[in-house]
Amino acid sequence: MNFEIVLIVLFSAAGTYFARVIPFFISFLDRLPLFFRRFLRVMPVAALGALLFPGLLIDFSHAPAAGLIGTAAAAVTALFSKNLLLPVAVSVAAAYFMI
Amino acid sequence: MYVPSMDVAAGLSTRNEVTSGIAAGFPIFAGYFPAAMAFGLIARDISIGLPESMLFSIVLFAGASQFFALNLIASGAEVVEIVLGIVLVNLRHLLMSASISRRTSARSILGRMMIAFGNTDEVFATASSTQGPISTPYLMSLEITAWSGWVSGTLVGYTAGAILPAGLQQSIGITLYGMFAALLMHNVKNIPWYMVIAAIAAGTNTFLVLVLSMQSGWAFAISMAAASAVGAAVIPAVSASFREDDLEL
Repeated sequence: MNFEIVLIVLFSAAGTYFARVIPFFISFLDRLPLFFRRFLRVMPVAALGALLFPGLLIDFSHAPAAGLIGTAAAAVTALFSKNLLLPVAVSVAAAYFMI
Repeated sequence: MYVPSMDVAAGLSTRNEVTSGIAAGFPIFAGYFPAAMAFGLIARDISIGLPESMLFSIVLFAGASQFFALNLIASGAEVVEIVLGIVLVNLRHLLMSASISRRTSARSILGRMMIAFGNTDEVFATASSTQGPISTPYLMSLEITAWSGWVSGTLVGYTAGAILPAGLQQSIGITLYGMFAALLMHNVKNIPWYMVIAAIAAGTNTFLVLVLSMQSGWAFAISMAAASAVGAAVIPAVSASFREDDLEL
């Protein structure tokens, strides 16, 4: 096994588990400043924005149109579909068609 | 001697709780399986071994951040950067666990440690949408069902990578971004202002990476924190639909 990757997995799993388990033992959220609670609340959305760009442009630099249209197709589909499967399938189909 | 059937009743209701946990977990299984297949495919694509890929899904069990890890590994980021980025993305679980823990009845330390492990976005959303207290057997079986979908999907995706046609393999890379976009739109549908926060993060990250050539892990952490700070400061004022106690992603 690749030692660096094992390190990455174990440390990030420990950090993630820490975030998941701590509130089961210590209740601190009510004492957290409102700003910080809001910060944590909007963080996933900010993460998604940063995960999309510029990653999409870099990964699909060989076929930018396919990347952008595939992703846009998933976004539009997601407006009408509650699950994730359909948007993802549509994005693959759209990208496959473009490439 | 006849013993009043407390145990039998408890056994039966536990079985019911387990059954309904598995039933509630099935849609998550069905959603995780293909997403994890994409993870396995991409992991193989960037030459990560099967044992390492499985280890990711078995012990980390955190969708978006696993894809994020692949991105960073492929871009040659350092270990510290990657770990920091992943932990930052997953800090939101503090909120979800805090919310769930108020409704669970697990008293034992081991019990609490076990139900905390599988508290992903989707598990949280499903468990939160039930009425009343959340029982440990229900939550455990819900989590195990979801986890099985994630782990088995990874294995199947990684293995299938060898037999998929090249054109399809190329377009598989889009699943990651399709998934991010879909998750984002599900949020934006409820609170349109979220689009602005996501755009700030995307714009900042693009600037840091493409213009300033910053390393991707740090750029990600900075742009996410900056956009979250802006969001936390302004969103209660601008968005009528934003509720403090609404924790669902």
